[in-house]
Amino acid sequence: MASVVVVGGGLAGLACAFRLTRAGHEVELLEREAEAGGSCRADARGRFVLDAGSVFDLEGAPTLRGLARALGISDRLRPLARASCAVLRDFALHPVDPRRPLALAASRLLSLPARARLARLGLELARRWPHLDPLRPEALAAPDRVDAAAVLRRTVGAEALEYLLAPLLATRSPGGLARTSWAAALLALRDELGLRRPGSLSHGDGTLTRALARRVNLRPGCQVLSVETESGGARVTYRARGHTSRVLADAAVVALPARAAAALCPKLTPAERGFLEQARGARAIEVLLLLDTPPATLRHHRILFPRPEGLALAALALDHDRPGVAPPGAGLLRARLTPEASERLWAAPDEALRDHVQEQLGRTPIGRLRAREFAVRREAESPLCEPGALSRLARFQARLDRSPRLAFAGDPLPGPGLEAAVASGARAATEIARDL
Amino acid sequence: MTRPATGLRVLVADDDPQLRRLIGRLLERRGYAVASAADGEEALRRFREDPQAIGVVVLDAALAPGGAAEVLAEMAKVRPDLGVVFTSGDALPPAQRACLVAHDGVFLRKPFDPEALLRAVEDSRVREQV
Repeated sequence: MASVVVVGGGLAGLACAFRLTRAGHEVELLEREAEAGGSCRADARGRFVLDAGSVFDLEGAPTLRGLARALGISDRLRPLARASCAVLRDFALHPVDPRRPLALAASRLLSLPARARLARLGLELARRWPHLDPLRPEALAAPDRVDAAAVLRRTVGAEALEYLLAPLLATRSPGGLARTSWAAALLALRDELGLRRPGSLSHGDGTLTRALARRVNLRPGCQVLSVETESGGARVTYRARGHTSRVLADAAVVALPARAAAALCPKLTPAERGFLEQARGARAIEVLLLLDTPPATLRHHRILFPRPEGLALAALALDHDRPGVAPPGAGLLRARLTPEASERLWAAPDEALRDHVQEQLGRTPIGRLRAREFAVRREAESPLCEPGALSRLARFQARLDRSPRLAFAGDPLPGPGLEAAVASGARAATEIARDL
Repeated sequence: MTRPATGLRVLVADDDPQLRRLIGRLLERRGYAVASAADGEEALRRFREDPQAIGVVVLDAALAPGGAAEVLAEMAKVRPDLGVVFTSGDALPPAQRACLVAHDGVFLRKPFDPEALLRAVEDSRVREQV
């Protein structure tokens, strides 16, 4: 029986291991932590669930839905209680629904000339729409060469860029639009505009990772030290409970962030090393505020803070709109810091971050909140999709000049959230099975 | 546990008539409509009668003449979203296994218990609407 070692028990690694296991492969999944899930892991705090807060389109996300079906948890994919969005400008919250361009044209968020210029973006999107497929980034080579901020400034002007588009895409462009390729921004816009039925996993992202962990041969507490592959198979060295061990397999899949993946594999081809080492990440900080009751002033699921408003916050999401993540009647808010603030405050103590977020909210119509409890989520390398990244990805996925018996999944392959992670796991499984 | 299905058609192809009948009866009792075939050519004929009606195919890996992967490759040209279960008494050969992974299918080793089959069929309806 063929055997595959999967390194990294995040969502991509789990999805890859599950797909291979289902098809009859003997799979071992090595995870460094005591529990699988990676950045999709959910921690319980009383009756609150603290996780990455993933929201996706219930009518899109075909790979994710297929996986949920195969795991028998389709009933856990649920719509959000509400999905409205508002943007702060001059101490007022302006409702914005990117799915309704006409309502946008009537909104007071932007001046009349700025609204008129948005039509040009509409035309550009309509022209490119048929080619906007996040799973086939190779079709977007031309817009991948330029940065999104420059293109948008030229197309819609500074006002619409700063007050509408940059805030709208803030969570999908961790380094800001100047560090995001136009192709990646187009894909993100497509997701925002094409969102038909926003939903999430009830009881958080951990619902999916736990269900997967039960269905694969998971070995927690294994710190992988090196992965070496050759035409005959793979040799994975890892450390567990103070002992160094080695496992021989027919193939290996590395499902780790790009640089960690490169560091583990000493015998990569130049194409692989080039791709993995050029991948960049940005620091991202989120502060979760646990409240006894949500503030009555908040009537939108998501509030966006444009950069000219001068706050350290990029967005505030009402996480308790997701089913099962907060006790009935309680509030769970997710405040995301701007890329600059995340960088500046990276080493700040958690309490200082909470105080800063509460103070910043006090400078908005939302008002100063007093959280009963709080949690901080720091992501050291939130993957960036800089100009050129999608073209590099397309070349990488063509599997030219690649190590035999070795595939990669997860963060090196950017895309929208859970669906991208699951799809990259599925792709890695297919690639590696073809090699065996 | 496997929930009863509603009107989903399953195509069962196996050269063992007894096993074919057994699988058919089992699935029918759970509410599936079943079509069956004794070899790859008959399976393709059955499939082509109404490709859109079939939700899942349960194929014996050693299906004559060319094996299950060959039959599936033909079917997937028309229906890339087909749910797939391969059954075999032995480990699958590499090509069959690669094909199964690519189609996100389930491998079921013979002899299997009835509940495992029902779960495999239910699990492999992967690309249907939730």
